[in-house]
Amino acid sequence: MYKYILKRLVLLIPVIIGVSLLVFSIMDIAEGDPVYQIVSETASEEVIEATREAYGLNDPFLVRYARYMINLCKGSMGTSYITKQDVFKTYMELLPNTVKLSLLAVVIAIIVSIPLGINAAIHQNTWADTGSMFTSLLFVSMPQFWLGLLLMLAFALKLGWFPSGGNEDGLKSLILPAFTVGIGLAALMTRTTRSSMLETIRQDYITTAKAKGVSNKNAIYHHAFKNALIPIVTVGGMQLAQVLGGSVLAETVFSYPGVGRLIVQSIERRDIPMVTGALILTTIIVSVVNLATDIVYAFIDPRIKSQYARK
Amino acid sequence: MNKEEHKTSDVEEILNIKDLVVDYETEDGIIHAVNGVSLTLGKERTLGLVGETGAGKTTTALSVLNLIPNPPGVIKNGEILLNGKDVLKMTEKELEAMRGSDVAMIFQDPMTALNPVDTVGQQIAETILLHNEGISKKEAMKRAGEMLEVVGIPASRASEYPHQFSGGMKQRVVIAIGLSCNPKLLIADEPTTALDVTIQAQILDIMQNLKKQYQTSMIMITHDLGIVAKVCDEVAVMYAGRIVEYGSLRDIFKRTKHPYTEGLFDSLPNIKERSARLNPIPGLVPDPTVVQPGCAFAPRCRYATEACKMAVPELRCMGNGHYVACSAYDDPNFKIRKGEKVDG
Repeated sequence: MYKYILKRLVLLIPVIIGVSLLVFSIMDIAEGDPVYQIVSETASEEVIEATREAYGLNDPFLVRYARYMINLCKGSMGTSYITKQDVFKTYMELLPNTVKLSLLAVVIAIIVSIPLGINAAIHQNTWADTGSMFTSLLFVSMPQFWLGLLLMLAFALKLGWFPSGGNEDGLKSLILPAFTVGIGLAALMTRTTRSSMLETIRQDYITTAKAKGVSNKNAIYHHAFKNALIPIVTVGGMQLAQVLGGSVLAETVFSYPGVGRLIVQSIERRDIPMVTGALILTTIIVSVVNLATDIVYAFIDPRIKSQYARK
Repeated sequence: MNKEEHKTSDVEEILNIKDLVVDYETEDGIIHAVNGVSLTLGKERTLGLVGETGAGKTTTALSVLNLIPNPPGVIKNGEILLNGKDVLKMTEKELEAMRGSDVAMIFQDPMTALNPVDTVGQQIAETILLHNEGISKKEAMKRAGEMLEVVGIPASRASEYPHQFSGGMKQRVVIAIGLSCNPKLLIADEPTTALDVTIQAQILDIMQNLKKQYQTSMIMITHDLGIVAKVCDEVAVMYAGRIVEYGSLRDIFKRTKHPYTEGLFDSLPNIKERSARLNPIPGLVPDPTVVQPGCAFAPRCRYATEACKMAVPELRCMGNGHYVACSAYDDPNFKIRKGEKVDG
């Protein structure tokens, strides 16, 4: 098991190299000269040239990339062109906000979707099933920014229960963005729970359990649900990784200071060190969450655990 | 029907099924799985329920536990008296108390009958915990280990998961679960069909020994006449949801009356005449969604007359607890030609 985890972590290195190279090339190809974000557009030719030289922007692509990677190995992700702040520090300041938002969104999604999905599966082809499937289709298809705006309109502007943006009010300012993200996640998770449960409640071991005298409820919640968990955890893990990488739309709509908004803003400003650094850190977070998901599998399903042991 | 006379004389009766009718209501029509089955089973007796796939054997068995999947299954009619109490009228609580404790079931496919995410020990202990009030988890696990020993698996393997066992071992675990609460009736639904022949014999031996040891009655569902000959006292032959012949093992094997039963025997390979072609019963099992006015076997029966297609034959007594549902016996001189070559 530990060997497996170690192996997965080592595999992160080529992934980071790939991601950084990709980000570097895209930023290089993309239009817009970063130097104009550093100096004013009316600056003289000499100033621009001097700035280019100072930031090493005149060097060939590979030289710049190599220099970045060497610094990365030394533990430095550079400083932002715009704010002159350390990239790592900036990211880490915003990360807790995103983590809070993501966890709350996923918790909301789990609380809503699992009972709903199980209920839909047990009462397949009844109004309860059709109703929850229709609702989840509706929310899966609904654009996140629009849902965010609707929630903001209702609960911030009309009712005034929650602030319409920022993060000054602690948990209160988290609620609306978390629901905006969470409801979208819940929709997909409900469908996954339903289909996975539909498969397991028909298995022979459920009949065996009932023939043993296990109550219907227990057969569903213990025997069937535990077996239905793998696809649910897969989807949940993927979704958590996705929102940890930044819920750009929700963060933008609610002007919530998270990493998603940071990345988008940095791209707009051609802040190459900030974009590259933030994406590398996001890559690491996504990979670690995926690894954690895989480890959770082993605790759910002993067959997977014995597979890991063999690797 | 003549269920009262079915009683196996002086033996105490544990199960009495009266005129059971079970339908599966699907989108493609109503499947008439069981059409009026009546059966009795005496204490410590073994009844063989024989027939082709789709004859309604498993449905009959699941009805005894009131475990017909609903939807689509609906028990339309009948009584299932277990020690005199109607299973079909029990509350959910009474059913849960009965299942696993009074009646246990062994399923056909051991590969899928065990929950893959619980240890086998947990799965045996679960039954013990459910039916023994006040027992501690630890004590239940200890008894689960003992049950494993009973079926020939070291107790130390109780902490292993089903995927770590072979098919035969899994079926032993299923048997251990079934017997863990000392049931009065054990229903074995083709317990050896999914296993290798060598393992089949082992499993049957285990089941027979334990049945004796625990003084359990048993319903053995199978389509294997060899198994019937080995373990059963009485045999009920089912065809298209009805019992077509019922009697003691000797009656069925030596004094076969029903043309379908005859067909089952004739389709067995004959060791004395290995070059001969097998004699399968011609035709197919009738479509269970179509209600037929006459004998369901008539289209495949070599003795069938026009009269057979008119009315469903009732079970009639051929003496000494041997029943057959065939209108050919309206003619007192009728005899089946068991073992003879089919014309053509």
